[in-house]
Amino acid sequence: MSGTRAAPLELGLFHALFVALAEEMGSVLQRTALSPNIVERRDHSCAVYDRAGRTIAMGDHMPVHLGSMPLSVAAVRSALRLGPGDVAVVNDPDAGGTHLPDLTLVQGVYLEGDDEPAFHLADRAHHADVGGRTGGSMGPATNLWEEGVVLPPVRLLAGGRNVAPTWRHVLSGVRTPAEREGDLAAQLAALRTGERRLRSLVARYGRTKLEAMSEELLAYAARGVRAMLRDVPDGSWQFADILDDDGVRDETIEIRVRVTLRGESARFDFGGTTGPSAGPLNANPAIVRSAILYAIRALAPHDLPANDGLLDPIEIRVPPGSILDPGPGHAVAGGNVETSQRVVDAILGALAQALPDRVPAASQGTMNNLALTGAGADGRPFTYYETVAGGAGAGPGTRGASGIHTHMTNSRNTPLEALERALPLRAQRYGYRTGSGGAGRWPGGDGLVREIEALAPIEGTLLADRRKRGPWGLAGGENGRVGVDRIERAGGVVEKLPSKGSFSLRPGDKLVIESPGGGGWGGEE
Amino acid sequence: MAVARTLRIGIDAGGTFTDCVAERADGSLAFHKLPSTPEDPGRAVAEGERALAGDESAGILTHGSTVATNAFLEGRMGAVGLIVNRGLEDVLAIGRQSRRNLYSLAPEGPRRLVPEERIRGIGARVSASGVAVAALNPAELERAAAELVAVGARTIVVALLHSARHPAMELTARQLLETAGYRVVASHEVSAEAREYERWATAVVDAGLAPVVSGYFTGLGARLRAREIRVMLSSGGTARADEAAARAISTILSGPAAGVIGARLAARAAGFERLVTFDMGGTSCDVALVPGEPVRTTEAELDGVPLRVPLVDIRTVGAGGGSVVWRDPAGALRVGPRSAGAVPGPACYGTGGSEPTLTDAHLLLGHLDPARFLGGRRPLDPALAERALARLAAELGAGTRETAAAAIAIADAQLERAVRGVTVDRGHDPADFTLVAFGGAGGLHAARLAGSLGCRRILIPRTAGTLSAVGCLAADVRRDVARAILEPASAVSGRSDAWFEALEREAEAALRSENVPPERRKTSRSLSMRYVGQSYEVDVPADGNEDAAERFHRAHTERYGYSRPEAPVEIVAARVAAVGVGREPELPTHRPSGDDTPDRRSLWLAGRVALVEAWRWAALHAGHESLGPAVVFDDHATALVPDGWRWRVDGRGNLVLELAA
Repeated sequence: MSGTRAAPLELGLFHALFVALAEEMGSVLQRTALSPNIVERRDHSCAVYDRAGRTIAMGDHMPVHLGSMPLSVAAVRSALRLGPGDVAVVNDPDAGGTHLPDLTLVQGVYLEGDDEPAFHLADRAHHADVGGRTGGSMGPATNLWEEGVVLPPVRLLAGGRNVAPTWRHVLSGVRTPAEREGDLAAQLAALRTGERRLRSLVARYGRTKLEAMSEELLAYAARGVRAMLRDVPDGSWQFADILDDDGVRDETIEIRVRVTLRGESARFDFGGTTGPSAGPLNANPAIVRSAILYAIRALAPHDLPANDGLLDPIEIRVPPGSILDPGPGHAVAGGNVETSQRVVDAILGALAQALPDRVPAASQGTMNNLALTGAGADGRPFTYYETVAGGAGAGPGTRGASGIHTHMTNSRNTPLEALERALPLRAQRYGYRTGSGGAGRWPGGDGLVREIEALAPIEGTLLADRRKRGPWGLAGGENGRVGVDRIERAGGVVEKLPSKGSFSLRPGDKLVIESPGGGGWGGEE
Repeated sequence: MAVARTLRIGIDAGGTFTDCVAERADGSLAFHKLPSTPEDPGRAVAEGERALAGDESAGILTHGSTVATNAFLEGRMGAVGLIVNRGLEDVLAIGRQSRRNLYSLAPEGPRRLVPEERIRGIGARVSASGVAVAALNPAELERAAAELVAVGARTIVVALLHSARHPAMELTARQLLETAGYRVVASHEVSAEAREYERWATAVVDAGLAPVVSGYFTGLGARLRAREIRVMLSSGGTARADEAAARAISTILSGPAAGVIGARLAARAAGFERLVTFDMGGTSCDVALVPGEPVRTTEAELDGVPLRVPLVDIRTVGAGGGSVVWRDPAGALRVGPRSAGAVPGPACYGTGGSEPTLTDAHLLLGHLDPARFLGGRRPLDPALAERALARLAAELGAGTRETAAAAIAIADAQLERAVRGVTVDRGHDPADFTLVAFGGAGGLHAARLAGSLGCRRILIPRTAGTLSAVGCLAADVRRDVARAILEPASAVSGRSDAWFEALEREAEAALRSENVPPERRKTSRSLSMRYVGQSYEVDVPADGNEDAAERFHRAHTERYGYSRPEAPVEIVAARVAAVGVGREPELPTHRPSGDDTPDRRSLWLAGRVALVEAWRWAALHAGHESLGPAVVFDDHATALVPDGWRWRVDGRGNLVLELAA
């Protein structure tokens, strides 16, 4: 596959060209979308794939999308024969989706004389609502159909024209159809940009060259991972971490992993992990792939290209029937945002035994997902979704950062001025939760406190974790403090909230989210 | 009919060189270049003035400076105390809660701009609709300010929620504290941005830079003979030094803006209007779009910190002559972002650098004249370049020249991304623009870059080495003012005139205080608009002749390929730019000197060795025309003309390259 003499000299060039293409797509998507999740919080990703649907390059957007989007592309390719001008939409977790609000658009790029696409393009964006029982489509549910509209791979565009039934189906199943339409238009604009750039690359370098360099880039990423694995000690380490509960059954969920490093290869075996969740914490192998890729890229000594070659030296075993591969129909809203974080924690917990001088203590390990719905000042319904950052784990030689998103997400907060303008809410407090980071020679970062007052009746759902056991410390460092959530009623009564569940706010009630601190590293001197 | 003029001087103090130009009484220009004195930048500026002004009576000196940029990047700012709404004391430190590097095991948040002990919360609060839900308590406010000063604050920034849209409470707070004798900045007076973190950060940077910038210009005033010192602003205009120091953040990209204005002047004089400016030096490369006027933005960031004030929209990439060429552990050739800088410098400098750089790659391929680099002040050693590159090539299993050529191609891809960012990403086709290349390395990369972008014409100005100084002379007096609106476009009809008139009064007052005569004043109105829900705005001119929403739909289509005529549109801000039209200097006609016969050199171009004509730029005659491949050497710039390009020398000595056929 590799080994042509020119390849080392041209890898950097073609890597830059493909990444630039994905970034241009991302810039169009972000600037033209309407949903605050996309424009303010940047919860979206764009990527280019080869003929076989393997990722060649992806813009640095959301880590959780890197391992999962190619499975959506694969699902589209096996379900549909994408002709020229066709664009498919998909969000089914059984088709490489992560959770339902993430709508993925996939298209093939046909080159002259071909009867199948020579490349594929895809973009994924987190929409603010896709229907279901609770606004924001992130609430507690016990099956997939309660979470919103489920889209197996279907055509959104055929031959460049809208497929009316698909649009009707998507838009009639959601609470805020105009906003969805705007966001999908932005996703389509990003695909058009990507296609234009890809065609100009073909015109400049020729398809043979582009296709050959795509192969070279996959091999290059694989070499990067092998080089990294060569430099870590051989051995086999096990670690288990837990999720508090799934919001339905009051039982902890264990994510168990055995990491085996041997020479230039690695094996991640999740045998022993708890079975399917009755609540919304079910993940899928696509998410597990993403978590492993994240850990590998974070450990690599320099930036590795984000493509499918990274997984070449890696073997993954996810037991069917576990919460990480539960089969169809299970509720999944929290698999992407919560379980994915715990999978990273488990992986890093195992790797910390192999590399004690590099791997940090656990970070907050949750995204503190908050979805709110109600009627705005103009009487129109709104749905609003955001995540709350927390403390990062301390490492050997570094304090954990406070109030920052870690691992599988990097989505930004909503400015308070934007929040108060759009919704009947008033922010009372947004600040560090002092003392929540685990003590240690290097202390963990502090979590955040986000306190908002309702000015009108609001229905909300919270999906959070690390409310029962704090993020672990390492080498004698203490655990970070657990998160705490409550409603301070207008009358003075304080109600503690479960980490996963729905609630109602009346005018004057205050919702307080306190996110977990990061674990400390090393005993205090 | 030459009218006697005051002596005008433009001086741009860059990282390596301080470039100076003087416009004498008869309109002629004189140039001077001297090494910068980074530890005391004013010294080189004063020397430059002395060299050009001699005994002539003192006139106006306009200065492009990196004092604010460097102070910001190095964190050398005055101590700021911050007063915010109670409960929001940590907002500035949290920023947008995201980390800078996605894949780091020790993630970092935004740069801390104000330490915790210099932040106080007060009970005052305005709602999103402008209602004071908690009143401002003057005693509490003054107590907070006193505490901040007691812990070392020199300037107080008052930053309250919703102040961009509803400034009254913040304004009152500012006035109360001023009356009490404090130095105060109100966030809405620095930026009209309607996001609290971005506006507050901008205001804090402004307050922190104020003592640095004003101290610098006060000191400079004592050293210079000019009767008026003016400053190049990041917006591409100028202001008197005392005015600029009062809004220090407005000078944060002073130098790069001067380059864009200088490039525009040179291009206009050569007959070109729609431009992409491309300034490539030792460590980085600045790119800007000039479709007539330079494109401005209020969405810039520097070192991850938002700067929400009007700036010439300049995209910077870390690719310059000093960018290190290296091999990563997975075996790929890479370029930058690390730079060898001036110390240890490229390998061929012979000053201790052993890693190859882009400059080494060009030297090895014959693109640079080793004897004439930087006017002969820095003779280059090709053997050192070759040794450094050969070592790398051996690791890669490739040829030395192939490695050098590949490094240049990788840099070109990075430059291309930057140019696409300011053109294609905004709906412009580079083919409609002339690439204006300057800076020491601009002419080396211009033709390849233009080729891959589809640009058909390149201008390399004769004054490429002192273009930023020329820009200082050419810039207009300028003042940008804005007001946050945040209302549906459908709800504002009729009221926008009142906003604009108020803004125009403010801007005109600034021009008056700068002594701009009425006949040279010009104001223009624009509206920043977006679809409700979007968070990026499109600036649309508002001259009253056409419905603003219509214009916005069209601008949106131009930029993003679609519009949604049925969707509600929001006006985010009203903006007025007031300009005191300056007098552009007349660029000199070219006077060739010396022998204009080329020698022949072997250069590595487009994958092979070619025997090409090497010309001395200074000796070329106006009207000279020929076909590439060729190389044109000069003291501070080199132009590489590949096969397929026709090139000529115009009346001012500029090189104009056009795609043949």
